Amino acid sequence: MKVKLTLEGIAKKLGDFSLKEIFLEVKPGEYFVILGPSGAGKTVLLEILAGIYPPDQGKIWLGERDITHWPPEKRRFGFVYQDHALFPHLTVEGNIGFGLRDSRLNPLQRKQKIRETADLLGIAHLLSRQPHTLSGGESQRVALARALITRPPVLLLDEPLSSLDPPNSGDYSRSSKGCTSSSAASLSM
Amino acid sequence: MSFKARWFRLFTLTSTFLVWAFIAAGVGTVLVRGVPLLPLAFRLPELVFAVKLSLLTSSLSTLLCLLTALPVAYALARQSVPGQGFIVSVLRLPLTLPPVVSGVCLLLLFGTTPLGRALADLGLKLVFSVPGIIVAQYFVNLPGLITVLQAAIEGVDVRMEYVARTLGCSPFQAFCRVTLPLIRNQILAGLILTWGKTLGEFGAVLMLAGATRFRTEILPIAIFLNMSTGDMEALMVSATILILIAFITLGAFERLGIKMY
Repeated sequence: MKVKLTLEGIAKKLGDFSLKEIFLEVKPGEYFVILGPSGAGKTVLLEILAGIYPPDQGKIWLGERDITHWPPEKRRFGFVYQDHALFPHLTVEGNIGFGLRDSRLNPLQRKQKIRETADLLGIAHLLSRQPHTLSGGESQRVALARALITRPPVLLLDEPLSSLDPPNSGDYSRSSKGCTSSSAASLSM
Repeated sequence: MSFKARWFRLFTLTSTFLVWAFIAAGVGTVLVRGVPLLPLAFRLPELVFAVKLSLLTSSLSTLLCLLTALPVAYALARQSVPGQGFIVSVLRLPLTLPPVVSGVCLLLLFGTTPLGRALADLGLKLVFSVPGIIVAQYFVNLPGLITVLQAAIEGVDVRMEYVARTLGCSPFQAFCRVTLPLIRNQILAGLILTWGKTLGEFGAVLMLAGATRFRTEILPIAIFLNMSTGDMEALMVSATILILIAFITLGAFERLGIKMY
């Protein structure tokens, strides 16, 4: 699905914190980076985009569709949090395949798709591991694989390079860009 | 080890031993007299009735507590509503109320108001009846389970539910697939604790369901009735059974690796 993502005057107040009138447009296939100091509201903006919080005002468009009031499960944007938020009760394989549970794939196809995605990110050898045994970089790749496997129209990455050293961060950047070439847009904070 | 450190160690260990000895002496006094009489429990129809009714009512009220506590705990942990402080205070009130007072509240609610009459007309008589036992146990023990489950849900990073939703789950599915498995141990701990407490509930049950032999006679009521009539053997057996159940409950906690603090 090749569509652009548009934010029109998005504003949100959460307690003492507020985001004021944000306008931006992310073109299909574009890798869009937003920079800002801690506490600037980057994560909240991503959560509004994912549908977790509704904006107080403004509109969000995905192509020609107004998705402002769509819940996260209808938007199905890929989301990778800064600390990855892996499900600790599931293995790496369970985490990556989580979004495929209700898909029409049979167990074999599902396993194959998990394997393909894990291969793409170089984490196939980790599939049977538990999340708490992974390094920061490994768990980041698992979180990325979990977000990518459903081929989301938009990929939202919160501080994607924060837990990686410089050589690994370049590697991760390239692989996330490569993996998202089929997605409409990626937003990285 | 310095003198002060040794003194402090001695003080804490002595305190621990004295408290242990106090509890052990109290419980042991009953067990020493009650355990040899345990075979009597199977021969006294009254005790058999009390054990069966206790197990039935406490299991049902615990199940009801779980079914209600889960959504309430989730709402308190994850959502904020105007006046939440007041709502929470009312929800927790039975935790701090003397159970007898809870029983009076229930007796007046179901005995003197149109709600009680309407329920009785529908065939659900709660005053001086077995359903009354379940309601009394439920009322007194629900807030404890809500508190345990609320703390458990708050301990799960809400962003995992958010991620689950971006992967296609509805809020309910995200709760069932992510949060619920992660708080499984706390649910089990809460259930065991609630079951143990409902089994021993006395004051509220006495007020709402009364103390009628072979009718509303659960184990604590049996103890009360046997004490009143001076039947010390039956009293010892009833108390011993409740103590043994408490031991089994603690054992189950240990087996599950659950900490009660």
